[in-house]
Amino acid sequence: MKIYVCVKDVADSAASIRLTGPSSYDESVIHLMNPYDENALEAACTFRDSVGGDVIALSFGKDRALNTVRAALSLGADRGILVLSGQSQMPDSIFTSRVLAEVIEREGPPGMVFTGRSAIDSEGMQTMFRLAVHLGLPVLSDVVGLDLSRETVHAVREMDEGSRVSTVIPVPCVIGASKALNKPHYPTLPEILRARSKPVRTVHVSELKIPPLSSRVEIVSLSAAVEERKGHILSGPLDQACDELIRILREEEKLI
Amino acid sequence: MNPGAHNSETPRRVGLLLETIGGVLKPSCRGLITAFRRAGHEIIGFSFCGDWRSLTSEAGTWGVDVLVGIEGPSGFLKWHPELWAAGVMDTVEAFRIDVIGGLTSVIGRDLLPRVASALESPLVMDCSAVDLSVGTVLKPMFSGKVSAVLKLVGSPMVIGLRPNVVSPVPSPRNCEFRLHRFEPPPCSISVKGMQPSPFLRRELSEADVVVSGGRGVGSRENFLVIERLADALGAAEGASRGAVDAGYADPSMQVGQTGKTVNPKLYVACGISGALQHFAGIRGAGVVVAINSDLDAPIFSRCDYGIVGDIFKVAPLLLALLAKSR
Repeated sequence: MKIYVCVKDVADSAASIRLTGPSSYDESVIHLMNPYDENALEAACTFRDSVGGDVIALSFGKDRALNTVRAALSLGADRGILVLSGQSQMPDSIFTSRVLAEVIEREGPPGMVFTGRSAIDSEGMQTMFRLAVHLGLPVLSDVVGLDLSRETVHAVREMDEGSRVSTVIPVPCVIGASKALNKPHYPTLPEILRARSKPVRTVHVSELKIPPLSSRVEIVSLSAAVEERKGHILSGPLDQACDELIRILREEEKLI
Repeated sequence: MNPGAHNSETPRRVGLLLETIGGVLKPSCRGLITAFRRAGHEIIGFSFCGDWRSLTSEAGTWGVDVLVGIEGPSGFLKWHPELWAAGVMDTVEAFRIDVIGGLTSVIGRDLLPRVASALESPLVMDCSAVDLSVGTVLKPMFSGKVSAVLKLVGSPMVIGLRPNVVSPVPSPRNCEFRLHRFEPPPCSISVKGMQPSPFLRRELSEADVVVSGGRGVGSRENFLVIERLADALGAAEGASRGAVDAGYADPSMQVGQTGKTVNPKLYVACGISGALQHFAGIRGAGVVVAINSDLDAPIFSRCDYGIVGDIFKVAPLLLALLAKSR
């Protein structure tokens, strides 16, 4: 069984993003595996350990995304496929999902597909849904609980006010993993060493011959977000400071 | 379906997903209607359950021209990801909708991408502003560090608005009600049941006031102080990642990079030092108040008002002041 995990190489959440043009940023900052994809990978490996098969880490990105694919191998994936995007800036989810689907179709029918509920850079929140349509599979994202067997997935999704809904989905399907799904482990040294001998295949996106798509989302411009805070520290004894805070929130800000 | 592109003058038929709580319009849907309401465009609200008569009149108050009640063959359809998506798609076709809008809410996060992917439509989630005249949206990226202008090419376009980013403005009109019954298709997913959470009582991502606790709160039991303060302010309760990792709070309460993004008018951070990843979740907050015993905590450099003090000393004082003038 082929178990696919789609992982994205993203700028570290702690990095400051410096814009270098109307639609580009300084990509020399540290890039890592998208945090939710770690949860997806952990779930995929658990599934493989119970039903057998291979976990294939699949990524669409620039050369440096090889690091993220290697990280996936050290965290338990059996092999990797990196589709090189070339120089294009942040492809949209419509195109990305086509690329991922095309690779999966060429590689062999999926036993399961996992990915993170969203990527922390572009925050599109939709690639798993589009991928599922292309593959003809059911999909559920924002999944916080999973119980997998060979035939069915019991998946729990978080709803309003922290309530949870439980669902049953036939296997194979596409699952978008939330942070609360599991606790990804840190790779051990033997795992890192073993990962070095695991195979990674690279494909250039042009080889996939994706036809032009009629729908797309274009980046018109990027700008640095400005955040202005007053930074007013209320000094003096605590009771006075509290008094002042409540007065400000009531009379000046009119919030309470 | 109309695959043609629109030029700037074309009036659009905008279908908005209107969510309800207990049959009444969700407060954050008012701003959703305002965000899409433009002269010449027709606003068609979609809803899956509610008291149709009163919901129609309330939707009209905020600028909806037609309210479509989507029902199955025997009445209301309980939430089901595939059924609701099918219902929306059926209605989009019947009403020749060319812009679909909704909240990036718990429901919207499933429904909007499901509809967009089935229709192969362009979709942008979590937008902070919408300009239908040119088909562009404003969207935070990189956890709010970057603001992007994106253009949606294709039809119908689908737009998810971040809750509470647009202030509602009434635009009263006589809203017409239309019932739309559709035949549900077979589904792959079966929905088994709903369990309420014992932890989170008000929905964080759409709350007007949020009170969050951090590692500084010290223990799960101590989180009662956050609960009391939240109750006094009518606020939703949140937590930092530190507090969640330490087991003081449920993961569903986490605010920040890998938790929830909140957009309240008032955010009160208690015993939260202010990691970069926490700010990622509160950039959209109106006023940020920080209470922390450590003057050097980074939260003080990025708040509007700060009190340097122990939360267990500050909270009782605030509670007393809040109770006094009620």
